[in-house]
Amino acid sequence: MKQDQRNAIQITGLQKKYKGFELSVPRLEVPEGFATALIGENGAGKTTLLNILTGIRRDFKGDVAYFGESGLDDRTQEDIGYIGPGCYFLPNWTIDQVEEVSGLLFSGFHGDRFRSLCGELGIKRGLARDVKKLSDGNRMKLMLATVLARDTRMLILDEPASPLDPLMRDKLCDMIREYLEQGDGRRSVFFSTHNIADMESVTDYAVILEHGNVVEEGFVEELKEKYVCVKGEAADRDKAGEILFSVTKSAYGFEGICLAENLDRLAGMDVAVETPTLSQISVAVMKANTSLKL
Amino acid sequence: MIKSYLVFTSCLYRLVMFLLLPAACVGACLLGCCYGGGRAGGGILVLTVLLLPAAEILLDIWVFPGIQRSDPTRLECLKTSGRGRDVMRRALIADMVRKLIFSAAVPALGYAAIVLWELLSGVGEGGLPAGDVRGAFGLLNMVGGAGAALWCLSMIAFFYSVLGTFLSRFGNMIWINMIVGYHVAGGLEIASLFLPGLFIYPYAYGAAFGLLGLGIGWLAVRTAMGRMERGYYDQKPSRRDGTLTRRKQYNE
Repeated sequence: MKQDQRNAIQITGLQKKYKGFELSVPRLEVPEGFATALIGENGAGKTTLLNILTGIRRDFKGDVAYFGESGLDDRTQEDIGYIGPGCYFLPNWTIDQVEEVSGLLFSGFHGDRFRSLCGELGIKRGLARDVKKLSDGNRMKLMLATVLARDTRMLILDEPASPLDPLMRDKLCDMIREYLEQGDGRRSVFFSTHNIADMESVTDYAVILEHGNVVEEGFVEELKEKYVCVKGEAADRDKAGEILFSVTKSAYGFEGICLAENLDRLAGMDVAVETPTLSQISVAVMKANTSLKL
Repeated sequence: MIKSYLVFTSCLYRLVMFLLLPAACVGACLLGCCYGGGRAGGGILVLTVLLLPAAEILLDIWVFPGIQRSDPTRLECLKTSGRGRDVMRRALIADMVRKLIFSAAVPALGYAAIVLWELLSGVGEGGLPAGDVRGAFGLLNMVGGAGAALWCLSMIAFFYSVLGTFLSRFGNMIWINMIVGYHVAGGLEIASLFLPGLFIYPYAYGAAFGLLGLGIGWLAVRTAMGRMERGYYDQKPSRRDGTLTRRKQYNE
């Protein structure tokens, strides 16, 4: 990371143990002004990390600094908008209540902006429209409307794309981009996702988490220079497999990801080299670090 | 405090709790008066006061369902706000205060309705001349006069409202509220009317039930806030060390 780059979040020596699982992040910096994706397989510790960052979980070792200041106080919580897959609202709340509660809980909440966002996202408001009666997608939209209606410096979004349809995922990317643009480099978004391909267009920085450890991180463009996608003939598959993170085999050949610095070791093989997508890099890194037998 | 409480209540709840419930009580009392005179109105009033806790317990599912459950992932909206805990505490306290006010106000409204009916109709009870409000409560007069009876009944209703909501908040299913409401209103509350000396010392009994109700109310607020506090941690905070001390020690 560049020396002059400010951080929205700076984690130092973070440790969290729970029922045989250990989240260990010696150092992690989430750059300010960018959208950072947190990628990892199920149970990698993404939600635990995001819960710690938002103050939902408080039993951990280590230090977390937000916007250059250590610790999460009430003022900092005002600057952070969080949405997650859990029970964010009480299930019996109506949409009107969500507006009222948000207005009371957060000083930077704008009711008119919330109502406008509800209209924009197609959330139907009614006297007795309970949150529990909303579909997962509409509940996510409601949460998005709630956080975007606030004046915040950072959004922490846990799996925002998962319950959304492809159209809404595209809209979500637009909204994130718009949020960042309106902040003049002072706003940040940190989101976890399994839908890497859908969210790639909005991702500036990526953090890959496996078994509670950060196994890769960097700006997407830098990662795309660090890794290459290699395609070759079936005859070279086994030899190439020695340096490839992951190999997708087919009757006609193979395809895999390797470090660009190891490309020399493929000399003599008939291979084509392409720039990988973030999704391909993520899957390759995850495959290299997973404990699953794939 | 009022605002904190109101944000937890939906429009429908406000309509039912603040309008329909008192109106139903007054209406039932007047209906009793029309068909059976002030004595019947008084009887209906006793019945409505006895049913008040059941209604309170049942309607609580709309406001604080399962708030005392030990589920750490709940209430994220409140946990991610610096004001969340204060809003929650104020709302819970306001709800208890409202229960106390309602337990007194709803019977008082019913009483006022019966008195008004007697005055307007000119029909008295208990051998008193028409329009004499002292006769409006044939049944209640057995308990040291209408005032004493209302005080005692109100405090009994308050105590069981608070007790019932405290118990039902450990779950978030409507049938739990229904069972608790049924047993509290239908069983314990009626049984309380047969406590020895209740008709002789209604003020003392009323005060005792009121104080017990306040105690349970305090426990309910403390339990709900404790559950919320515990939700920040994977393990139960040590009773001896307390949450903050424990966290500090862990971080050190």
